[in-house]
Amino acid sequence: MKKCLWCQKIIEQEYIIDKIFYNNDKLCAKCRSNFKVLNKNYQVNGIKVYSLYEYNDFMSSVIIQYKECLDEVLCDVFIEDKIEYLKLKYRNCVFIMAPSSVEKLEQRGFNHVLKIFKKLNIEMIDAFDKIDNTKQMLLHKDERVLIKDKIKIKENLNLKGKKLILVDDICTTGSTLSAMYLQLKNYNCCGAFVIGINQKIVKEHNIISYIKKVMKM
Amino acid sequence: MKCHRCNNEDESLFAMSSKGMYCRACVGFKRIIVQEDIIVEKQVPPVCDSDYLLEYSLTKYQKEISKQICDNIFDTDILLHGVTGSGKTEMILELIEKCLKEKISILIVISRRQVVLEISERLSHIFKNCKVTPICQGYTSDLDGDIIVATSHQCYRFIDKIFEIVIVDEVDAFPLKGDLVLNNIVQNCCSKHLLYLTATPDEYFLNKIKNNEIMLLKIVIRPHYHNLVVPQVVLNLKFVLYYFLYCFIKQRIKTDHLILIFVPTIKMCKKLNYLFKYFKCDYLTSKTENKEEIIDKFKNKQINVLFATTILERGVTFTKVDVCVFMANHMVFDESSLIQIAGRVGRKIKAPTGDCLFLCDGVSDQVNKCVKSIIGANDEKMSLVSKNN
Repeated sequence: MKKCLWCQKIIEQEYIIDKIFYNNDKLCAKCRSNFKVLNKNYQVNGIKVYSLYEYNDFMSSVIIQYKECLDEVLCDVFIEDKIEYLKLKYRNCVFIMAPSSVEKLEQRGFNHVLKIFKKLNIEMIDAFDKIDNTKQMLLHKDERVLIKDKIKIKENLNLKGKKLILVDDICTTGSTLSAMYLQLKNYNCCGAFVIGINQKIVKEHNIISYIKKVMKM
Repeated sequence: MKCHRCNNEDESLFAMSSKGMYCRACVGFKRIIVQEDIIVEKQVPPVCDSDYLLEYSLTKYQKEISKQICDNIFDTDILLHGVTGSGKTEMILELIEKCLKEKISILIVISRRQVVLEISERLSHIFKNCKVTPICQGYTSDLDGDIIVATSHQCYRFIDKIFEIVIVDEVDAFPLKGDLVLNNIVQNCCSKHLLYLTATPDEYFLNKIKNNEIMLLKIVIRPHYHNLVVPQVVLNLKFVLYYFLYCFIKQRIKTDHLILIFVPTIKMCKKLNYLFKYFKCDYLTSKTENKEEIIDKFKNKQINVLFATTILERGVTFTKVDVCVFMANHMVFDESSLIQIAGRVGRKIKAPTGDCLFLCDGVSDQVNKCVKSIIGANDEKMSLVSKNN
């Protein structure tokens, strides 16, 4: 008797296939199908970003319930079915977390990025301080770029010789990621890993739009 | 273990967090920790009192009902069942006045955001000295006031500041219908008794009336003493229905009535708007951005025909209007929504009559039920009037 974490209905495991493939899934098959799976690399502001899902309406409501309504149980939903693959993929890397301000952390009582990636058993470093406490969500695209003045790298960090991966929950315009990337340019920073990526960026990487681009050139 | 906000007792819906156990049934309204005891305060009672000023007077039936509400609300919960357009909002004014005079805190819960703004503006005109506070999306900074009007989704803000009397409008409509968590949250805002207003009570309330847990007050007479408009039902093939609709619009457009056509889906709404663009028409769905602008245009007769989805089914009043429901047998139209749609016709004293047409391409139980209950209400009204004469 397991209940789906999102729709609270009992997960039915009638078929053998269900028992083989979805035995650890905490969502029911219907809710799981609302996530649009990508598992692809994208170029955002010159950074190679690996994304698991497309950031659609369903995903935004899950993220809001997790981050803003503080529903901590949902942290397992995102990377659960890919843990073994991700462990292999990032086995020699060190994760650099996206910054969140101290006030916000105190209010939440947990670090939302850390909690999602905790199960991978990869070293995670909180390398940045966030000075200003305005939400990126509420800002316009032009204002979001200003975040590069609002975050500062911590001193006394031992990052030399390590393979660094930036991690965040959502990549909308990529301004947080590129601000982090700029401050880490002396180190070996080789990409980013996010849970959800904006639909616009996915569309830009579509084959058809790529062909159009080439044709224009 | 029990959540004090939504009365949830299901063990599997509680989860452990870094600060303690919390309830997952109502976590959408921001997490609360269950073990923490919250101190329940009483809402600050209203400061000023004022008489209410109406430009028109209530009928004797309305006066009788509003007196009965005032007498009984402090003893039991009340369900006020009034037919559409019978002036349910006017009947609660006397209760509000009484509460203001006796310093009893009062909350009005309404399901839709737009109606919250509309009613709070009307109330601030009626009770001139009082501070009426609307609380809905975009208006959440100020929580104090003599009379507070809120959407049902904002009621979680008052979980530690409870009211003595809560009035719930349209209990049978979208967010409250079938949502146990939201219903419990609204009920937990109230320390004494609730007053429910509805035009179509559902089974939950009918059961409660049977068990005498709630008192039923019924009003079947509209202020202008006219009968409710009984919808005409046309059953035919689908392509014939298009012709019927064309005839209906062509015939009605000669009069000075507005024509409002309800359509089950957004796709069909756009399609019909394209088909009938020979007449001056427009469409309104939940995804339209300038809703108020289109409604204003329709009221000023810049548009003759308006295609709408069920978004317009409640809470709006047009002066002279004829209503048609295209594909009334579609599953989005249930009995209560069809009754509400038929109730859009003839709401004003100046224009008490109009036409209502249901076009179906299949037999539907809900349409039959709707017509039956409207005829039943009319019969009840006739017997009541003849008894009094």
